[in-house]
Amino acid sequence: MEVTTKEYKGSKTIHRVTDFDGGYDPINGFYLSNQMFDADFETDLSKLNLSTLMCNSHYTKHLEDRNTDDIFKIVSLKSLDGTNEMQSCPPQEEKPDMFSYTPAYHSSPTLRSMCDWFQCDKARIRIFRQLPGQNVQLHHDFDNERCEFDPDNVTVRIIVNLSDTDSYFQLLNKTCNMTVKMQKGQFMIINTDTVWHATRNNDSVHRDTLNMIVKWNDWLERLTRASETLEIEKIKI
Amino acid sequence: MKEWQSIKIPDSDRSLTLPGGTPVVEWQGIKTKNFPALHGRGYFVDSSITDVEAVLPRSPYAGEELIISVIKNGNKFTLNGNGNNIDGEKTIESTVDQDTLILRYKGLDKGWETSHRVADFDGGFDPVNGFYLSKQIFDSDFTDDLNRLGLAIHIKDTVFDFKMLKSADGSDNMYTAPSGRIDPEMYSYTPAYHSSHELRSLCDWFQCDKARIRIMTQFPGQHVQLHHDFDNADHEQSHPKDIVVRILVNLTDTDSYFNLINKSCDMTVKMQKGQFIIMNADTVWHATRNNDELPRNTLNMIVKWNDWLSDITRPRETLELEKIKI
Repeated sequence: MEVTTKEYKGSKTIHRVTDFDGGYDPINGFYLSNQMFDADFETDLSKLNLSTLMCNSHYTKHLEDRNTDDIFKIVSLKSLDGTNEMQSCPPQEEKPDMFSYTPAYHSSPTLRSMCDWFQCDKARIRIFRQLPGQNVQLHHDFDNERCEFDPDNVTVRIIVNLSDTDSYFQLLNKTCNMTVKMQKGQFMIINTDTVWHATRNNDSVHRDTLNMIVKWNDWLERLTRASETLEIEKIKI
Repeated sequence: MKEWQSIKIPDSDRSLTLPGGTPVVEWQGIKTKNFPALHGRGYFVDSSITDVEAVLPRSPYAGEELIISVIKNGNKFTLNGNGNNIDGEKTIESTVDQDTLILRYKGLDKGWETSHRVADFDGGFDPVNGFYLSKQIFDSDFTDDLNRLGLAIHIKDTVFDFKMLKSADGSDNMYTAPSGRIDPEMYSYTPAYHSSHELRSLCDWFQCDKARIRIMTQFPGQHVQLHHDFDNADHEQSHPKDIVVRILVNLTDTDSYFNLINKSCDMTVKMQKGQFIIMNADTVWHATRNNDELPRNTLNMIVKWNDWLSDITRPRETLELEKIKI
């Protein structure tokens, strides 16, 4: 059989990154970072004593229905009343100046440095401990619906994976479907109104994540901009 | 804003997990016969014995909420609006297990609306514009097959070594492709394919028409800059049967990464061994980097999009990792 071969089009210049007009869209998309925090989170996490946390008394109703195994244990690093235990927020927009840093934030030098590394205005900040074997079904949240989907006031969530466990996130939007085992120290940025998400922890130990609700800004835009060459950036904090 | 809820399913060791924002309701027992569904309550439904119908309140107030979780659905579950619309319909039906309906009454004009159901989600992997990173993970050892292929572990100033499993002339080393449209019938399986038991089973697991199939070995320290390819240049992308996608299966456990970017998403991922990507290489820009001291091997198949691929990439309500033994 005679075969006509074509030239490898990778040698052309028309598909350089300067020709690319896409990239992370904070209204409709998700970003999984090439930046990875290289730090000891365990020391801070062990002091937070998440296992004995109680839910806020305002929300005890749901405990009546709870199985003995909860899905998450949560401690707040920035909350409505500045306490570690307050996890909830009012039904309106989460404005960063409504929230105060908690004792847990001030007593956790590594976690504090990581929060501060992100140069953006932050509303609620929480540590989520997903317990072994637990999952959360596919759903979306309402962070931007509460801001009437104002394109000039976009709220995103930054989720940093703090553990090396056999646990997964699934993110879906209009074009992509990703099931990912995040690296320890890796983070994602998502618009939780439009990016549906599910989680599963298949490990025998808990998975800890830092979850920050923040306002989109130019610094985040620069951070997430596509680069011609893929480099994994290790961030020491 | 209410927090996560985990509700134990009666007579079961399972729990129903509901996300933040879900109303807190008073949960009832399992319903196996027709029943009236009331504001502020949650119902588990089992239609495995007979059809079950839930009838919503006739004159609800705006803001009324309830939850129905179909835990077993052997027959048919029907939700009857009792004169009010539900998502624009008089009734809605469910025939799948573990379908959870969170209902809110929005007034006479809008009627009842469901939210948070996967059925409400109209997105997902788009083979023209997007990428898919699998929840399916092959649980196999490809080492013996890879060792027999004689792939190089290092070639100076070179990024990849290749071995063909399906090629234009049926030989192991014909890397290039015929010009024009990508037609699976123009390619033949190679001796490397026939002699590689695990890799052959891996290829065959994917029920789609395949054109070129390559094993790509990315050498240590090597990277490929962000670019796109031209698989669909001679294809009609608006025709779902004429779309060409690439399937990339990661065969090794190395410190190596893919970067995939489209119009809305940017993902840098260290794939699990046995995990795969499906992407449209024309619209999804991609880069790779191998930071390991060992080569990274991937199976790279250029295939035609079809209904089977559509089905395996479809979102499900609950995230389950599927380990595939081949």
